[in-house]
Amino acid sequence: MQTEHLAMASVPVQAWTGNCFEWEQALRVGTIFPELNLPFFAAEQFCCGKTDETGMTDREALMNQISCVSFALDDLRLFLDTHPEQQEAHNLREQLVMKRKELLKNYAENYYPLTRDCAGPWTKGPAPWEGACC
Amino acid sequence: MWSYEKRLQYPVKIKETNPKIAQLIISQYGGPDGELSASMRYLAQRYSMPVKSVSGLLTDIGTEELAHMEIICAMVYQLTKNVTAEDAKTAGFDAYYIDHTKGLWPQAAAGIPFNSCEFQSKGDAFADLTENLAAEQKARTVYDNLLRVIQEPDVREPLQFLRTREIVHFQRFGEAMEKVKEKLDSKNFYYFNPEFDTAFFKNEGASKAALI
Repeated sequence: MQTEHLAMASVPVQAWTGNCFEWEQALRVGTIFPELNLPFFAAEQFCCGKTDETGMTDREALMNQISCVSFALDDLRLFLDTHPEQQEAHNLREQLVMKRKELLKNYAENYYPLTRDCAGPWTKGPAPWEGACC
Repeated sequence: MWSYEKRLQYPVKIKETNPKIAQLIISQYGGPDGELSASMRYLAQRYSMPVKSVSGLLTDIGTEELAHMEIICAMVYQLTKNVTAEDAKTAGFDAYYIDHTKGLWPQAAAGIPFNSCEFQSKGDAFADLTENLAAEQKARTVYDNLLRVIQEPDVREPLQFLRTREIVHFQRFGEAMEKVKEKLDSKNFYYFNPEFDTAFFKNEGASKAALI
């Protein structure tokens, strides 16, 4: 049970609600948790954004799926670091890990490898900073 | 160890060359509250952090900050990729161009080189975690300042993503403070330094008894 003390900083511990943004929207916003989406007035318009998949190549659409699932895992991992007892979050993590493995394998087979566990040479495919991530 | 994944955490695809914006954004690469500073801060602090879950959190956030550094570098790179000597002369990028051409080099917006004096690793759990809370706030302020002056949507989108991450990290460091507090006697959190006076920390029962 969290209590406040004099001369000590205190931030309330986040509760797990099970309510997350869709992964696509979570990436645009910067968190999977609606309660942590606290936009700045000068950038509010982005906070409900969704990627327009029309006009994307198949490769770009697959990369977008990888980005969304991987980011959900990034955010969930930090939540689990401070909430290791949260079973529902663990279950969600397991589902996402499986999904990500499948997407990475698919990407390596059809385009180029993204991790050293995927087959293929490093020289295949553009560098990420060249705009190949969308 | 670390292993590289060949993609950005958040996509960056900037169409227009704009060395002026690059000059502002580069602060989040090598500036006092930038992503390089953030990653080095957390990855340095974790070794002596006495609570395992908290040193784990420092590792995970420090790792994510490396990915943020890559996003900022990709933005600076794309904003200056097609810059000409003429652009460099007129767009406020001249001093940087003379020293680095289009190469990436960690510096603050005002040209001050990256300096590890900008961040702390104090060897005291409360001092370090309080520093981290402030650091996340300072980085958020820089993103606010950038978002107020930059209008280009393809530049603003990654900036607002990075801004939200500062808020999420602030929340997690706050929760990490609670993890440390749980291990100590709330009557006096400052009775000893849990990273240095380890005999007290390992024998919590005795330390609590000593206080009563």
